[in-house]
Amino acid sequence: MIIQGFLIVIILLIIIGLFLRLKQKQLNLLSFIAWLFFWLVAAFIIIYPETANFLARILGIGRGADVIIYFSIIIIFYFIFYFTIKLRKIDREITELVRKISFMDKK
Amino acid sequence: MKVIAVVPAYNEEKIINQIIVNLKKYVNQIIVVNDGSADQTGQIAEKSGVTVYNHFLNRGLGAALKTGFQAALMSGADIIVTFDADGQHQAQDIPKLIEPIQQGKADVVIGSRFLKKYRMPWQRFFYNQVANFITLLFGGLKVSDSQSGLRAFSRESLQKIKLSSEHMEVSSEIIKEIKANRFHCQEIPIQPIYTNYSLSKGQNFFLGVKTVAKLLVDKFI
Repeated sequence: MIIQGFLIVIILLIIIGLFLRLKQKQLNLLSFIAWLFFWLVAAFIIIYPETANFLARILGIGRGADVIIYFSIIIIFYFIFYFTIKLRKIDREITELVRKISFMDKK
Repeated sequence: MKVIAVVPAYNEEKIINQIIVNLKKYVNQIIVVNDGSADQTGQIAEKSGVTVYNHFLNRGLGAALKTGFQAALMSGADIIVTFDADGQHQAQDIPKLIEPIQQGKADVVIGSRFLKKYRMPWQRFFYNQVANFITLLFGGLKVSDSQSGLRAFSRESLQKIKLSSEHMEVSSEIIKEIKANRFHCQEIPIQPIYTNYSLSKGQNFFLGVKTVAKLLVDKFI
């Protein structure tokens, strides 16, 4: 009970942070909606843990907690993949910049 | 035929001048790509009168070679030779390296350390055999020295080669491009110079593992 309340308070703070960043333009609209949705779902599952067990029964997985972990791992791996691509792209762009400058210095 | 040597260099102030002096006898122009050296490599190269392109940040061997290739083609090179700045290569190997291209018999020539039996540290030998195998997997072409830094390209072939590697995996990518473009590739034997200096500058196991990882990432992305 207490832990649930504590976690909900933290999530509320995070959501307030999302609104602030959206207002300060540190976050674009699409990302804001995606993260808001994510934290609302997390809060929902914390308040109604039975949802996880319900999902587990549908998917044929043991416990609700297992479902959450499996989903989390998939999401985390996706993000790692996404960031790898993004970093690679940024790396290439930096090199192009450095190369361009080296040619400009030559003139 | 205009022969231009592309020398990628990173922190080689101790021997870059010697490399340039030896190279001058065998090529028409030298292009040194100073890849963000923290020492005086760039300044020493410029003082010796060769063409120097400076990367103000260190971007890696692949990036430096690509800059050098662009510069060489812009300078009207007919034959482009890649030459290491760590003292492992001998400038006097260049005439027999470029001969097949001058005679129109090959598009690309690679100087191989493994066509004849030369003395080398066993770790280097083993590492290179592994690298050759991995290059065969990723590039589809079996060569005796995939990691050799001493190569020659005809102008036409270099113009068709598209490189995206940043670091040492570029060696394997070059082999892949040779196969993809169906260039006629020839190998000639060269003797590597292994001094304490050139050995300290070379590959080690962890660098090799990182290189394979980079090849994997590029393959699947």
